[in-house]
Amino acid sequence: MSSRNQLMDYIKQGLTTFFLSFITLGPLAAWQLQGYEVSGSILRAFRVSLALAVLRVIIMGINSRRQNNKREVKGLGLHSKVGSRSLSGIFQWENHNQGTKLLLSAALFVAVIAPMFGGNYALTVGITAFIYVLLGLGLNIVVGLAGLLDLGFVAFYAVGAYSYALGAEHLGIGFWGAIPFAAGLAAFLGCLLAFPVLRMHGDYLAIVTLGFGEIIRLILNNWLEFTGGPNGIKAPYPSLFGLEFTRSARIEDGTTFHEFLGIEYSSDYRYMFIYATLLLVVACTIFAVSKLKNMSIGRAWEALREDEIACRSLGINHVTVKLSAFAMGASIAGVAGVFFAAYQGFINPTSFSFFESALILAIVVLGGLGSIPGVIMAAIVLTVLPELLRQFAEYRILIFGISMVVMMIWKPRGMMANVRGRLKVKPIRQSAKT
Amino acid sequence: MKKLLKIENLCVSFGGIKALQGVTFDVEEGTITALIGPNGAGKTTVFNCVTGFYKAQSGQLEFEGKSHKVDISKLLGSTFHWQQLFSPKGLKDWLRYNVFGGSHLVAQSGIARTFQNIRLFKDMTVLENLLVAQHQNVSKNVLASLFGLNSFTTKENQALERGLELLEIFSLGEYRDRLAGELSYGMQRRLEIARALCIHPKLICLDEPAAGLNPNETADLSALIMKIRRDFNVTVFVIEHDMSMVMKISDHIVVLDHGKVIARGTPEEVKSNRTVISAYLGEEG
Repeated sequence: MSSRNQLMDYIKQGLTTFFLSFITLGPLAAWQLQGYEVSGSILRAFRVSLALAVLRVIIMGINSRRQNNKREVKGLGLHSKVGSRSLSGIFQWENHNQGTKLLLSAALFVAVIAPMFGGNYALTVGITAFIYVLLGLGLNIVVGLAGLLDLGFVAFYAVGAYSYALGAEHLGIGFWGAIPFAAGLAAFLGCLLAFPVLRMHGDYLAIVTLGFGEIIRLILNNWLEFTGGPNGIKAPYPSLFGLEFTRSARIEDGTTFHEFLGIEYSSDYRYMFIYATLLLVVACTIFAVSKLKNMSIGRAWEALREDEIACRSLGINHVTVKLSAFAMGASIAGVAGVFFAAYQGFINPTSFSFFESALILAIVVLGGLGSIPGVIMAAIVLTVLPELLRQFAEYRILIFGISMVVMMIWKPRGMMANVRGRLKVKPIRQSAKT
Repeated sequence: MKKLLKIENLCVSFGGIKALQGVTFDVEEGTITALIGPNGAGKTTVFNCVTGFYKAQSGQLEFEGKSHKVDISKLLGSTFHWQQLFSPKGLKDWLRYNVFGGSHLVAQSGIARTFQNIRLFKDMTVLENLLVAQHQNVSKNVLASLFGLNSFTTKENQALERGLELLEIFSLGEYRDRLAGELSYGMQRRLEIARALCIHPKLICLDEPAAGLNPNETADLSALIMKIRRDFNVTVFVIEHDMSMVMKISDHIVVLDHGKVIARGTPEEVKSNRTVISAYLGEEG
């Protein structure tokens, strides 16, 4: 009954949209300028209106799928007093305070407009910062949420970077194919690492993951025939719909980006492209990671960090929960690795030393364990500040260490401590109940 | 009455110490069964075996689970026999129980527990504690959760409803958004019981629920235990040192001393049992 009503509703809305847009947009859309002649075609107006109507129905469909979020609480009838009082309403989680939301939107705004003013150099700094944001968010899942101290996180970053470079060389995987490939491969390696360390905690886990990171680095360093060893390996520049960002096309009959658009060649376009793609990936990651907290898997991670025995007593499978944390964190690092390789154009094992792991861990700890805005901020601060303080380059590590100590004394929970979600129950208007 | 949990000849030893030596008793459905005994008698060891945290060296543990009869020691996995390599079923079972098995399977079959030293998720809010416990009932589809689709929100809302309702019943409603670690001791005890009820158990094992509570709080707790048995249709299995509470609420008492059952029966029978009195007060000269 309700589904039939819904169908009628869709048809009604679709037709209304169609006629309205036909009347309002028709006169505009029908006229077409060809050279000096203006020709009219009713079919064109028809097509535009039809597209709008379809769009309207799709939006309605998406909205109706989300509608159910707003429903009334009935209660289970266990307790006669319950159900009438505070429980009636729409459930809504509040994860951040207003300030954080404002800060995040401001940061996004700056990130979007900054490349227009900064030029090439600012773009490269921005790309590095974003790569570390990704790495920080990935490690935040493992250390911040699941509480598994991982000192070899850079291994997954290396796997991502090398899977792009080697995948392009041996399997012919392009930039876009490499992103899911690297994510999958890193996730698989994450599971592989997680299996032997399932029963370990704290210090022991840290040592084993540290060893894992070193193993990966040593393999990359010593397997000369495959990885190129210390000499490194060339990673291809990225492409957009087959358009390359090089001066001249490397494949036969290929078109480059500047030739396609008919503009002058500049290496800026490549950086701009990587920057834009990376911004998109970071935005998607932030969206997904911030939703995790109110999902069953995210809650299970946090519960595992708090008390593993209690978790097991509640029927939560600690094996799969740990595996998923390692896999999810690793796949994000893998994606970051692909961007690193694509941006550098050349990778060798020195980029994946233990210092990198320590830096990523510092980002997570300084930002605040489990706090997404904190980790983003710390990643940006720790990558942009060294650039601004170039003249003090020799004292970089010293300043780094001092700031770490000061932070831990004054703000032991990080720059922006993790805020717990609060449940808001909004009362439903009386009319909505019927 | 139907036997919910059957314990037969349970033996556990830690190195040379024999913690349990052939413990045998049953827990009947719908009752409140108490397990008492002096310190070090092995009460918590029995609990840990029943809830799958320890693996018994020998003995039978049978539980009438939610869907079928469960052999608790089997869920914890067994040592690997080389013959298992050649039978696909044997290998599958070994993988299932040894690698992915463990106490969480016991919990999923319908046994919930609380702990002697409270084990709440202290840095999570009170409500989140109850939501974690409903992990089995909420949608695990990551894509549906990310985009807030129906299949996710319906189950999520049900979990929230149950959580909020349990908080009202346990008079914790106003502390919903507080961190669990910030609550007072008595509230933490109540929250732990509420959390255990979230997994829809058939049997709930309470390990010294009245420890550290004052007489008033103990009286409230007794009323609460009676209430959850009635309203949630669960069987209660409780370890307790507070004799007044045990005598008041329990239908059946099992007395344990030095890893052996020395008496079982109704409160009146146990109260007048000579062995029990001597175990508690020492032999009369």
